[in-house]
Amino acid sequence: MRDPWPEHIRRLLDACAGQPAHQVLTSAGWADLRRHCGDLAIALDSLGRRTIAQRVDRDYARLHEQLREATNPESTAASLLCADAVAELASTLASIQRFQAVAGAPRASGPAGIAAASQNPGSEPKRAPEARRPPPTLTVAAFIEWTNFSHSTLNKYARLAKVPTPRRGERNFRYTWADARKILETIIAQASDRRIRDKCRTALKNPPEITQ
Amino acid sequence: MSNSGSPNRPLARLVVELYDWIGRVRGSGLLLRREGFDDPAQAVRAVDELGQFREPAKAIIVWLELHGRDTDAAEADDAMAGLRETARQYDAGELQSLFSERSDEYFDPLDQLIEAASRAAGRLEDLDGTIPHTLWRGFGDA
Repeated sequence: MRDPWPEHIRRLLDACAGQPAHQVLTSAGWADLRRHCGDLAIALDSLGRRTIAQRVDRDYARLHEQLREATNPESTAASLLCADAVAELASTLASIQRFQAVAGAPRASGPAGIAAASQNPGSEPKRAPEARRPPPTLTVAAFIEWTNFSHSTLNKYARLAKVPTPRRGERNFRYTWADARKILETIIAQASDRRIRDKCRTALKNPPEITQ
Repeated sequence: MSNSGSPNRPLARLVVELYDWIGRVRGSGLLLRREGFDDPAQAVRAVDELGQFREPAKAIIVWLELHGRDTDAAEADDAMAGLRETARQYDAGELQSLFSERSDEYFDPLDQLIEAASRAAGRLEDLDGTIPHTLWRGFGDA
């Protein structure tokens, strides 16, 4: 994996805080940052570090959005949000760098990896044999049985999580394990009802038997 | 904060640091005290003050994600994000005094910031109670 927090990216993020937003967005340095974050996210994803890859993506996207907002010079709130977005991306990259020895090692994805992680929480999960098979999937019925959600709740959050959903009348639709996790993580992040969030946390800790 | 937390329990350490900060703000507000006894205290921004917790918290969040504890990481992230948002609103002057019927008194913006920090610290404290101490092995070595 490439250096997650190289000097030129540090300098660029420092500059984000001090330079006008439009100048940052049109600079060659910004193109470097976009490429760096994209490459890093792909590298992390390929190592099974999907959540952290998503964090890099999300932090970059948020900073981009805030810089675009900040091109409006009237907005004080935007400058505070922009500074926050800069600091969030910087701290994410710095933390990945700090734990690069762990982040750079592959981990198992899917329920087997999670189960291994919860059985042996102090150590890195080993790559499960399932990792070489095709990605595991979940039927809609299995998802509902697993989480106790209604069809409408599941559909609502699947759309929010931007994962594929079954077409009207479609049978045999299956969620990939990665999409299933994405839905639950979206609920945890966005649902206002704590009971629903807790339900998702419990579900993630107790993965179902997955069929291919 | 120069350290990212105790090598043994960084999350517990972060909670302690947050409560210490809350205690200071409760006692003297958001003021920066200079070294000299007669140096005037200077008002500071809440977001700048809370900046000291960002890196330790992010290190904890990334560590949890690296160890497959995504939901715990999301909980810590959410707690800190909520606090940062209240701090931003405080600095931007978006918080108004609120009357609390329960305690029959007004909560000014600083009270609301303190309340948000206490809530975040409480959530992190609850989270710390659910994480096995062995998970932090190796955290302080990096």
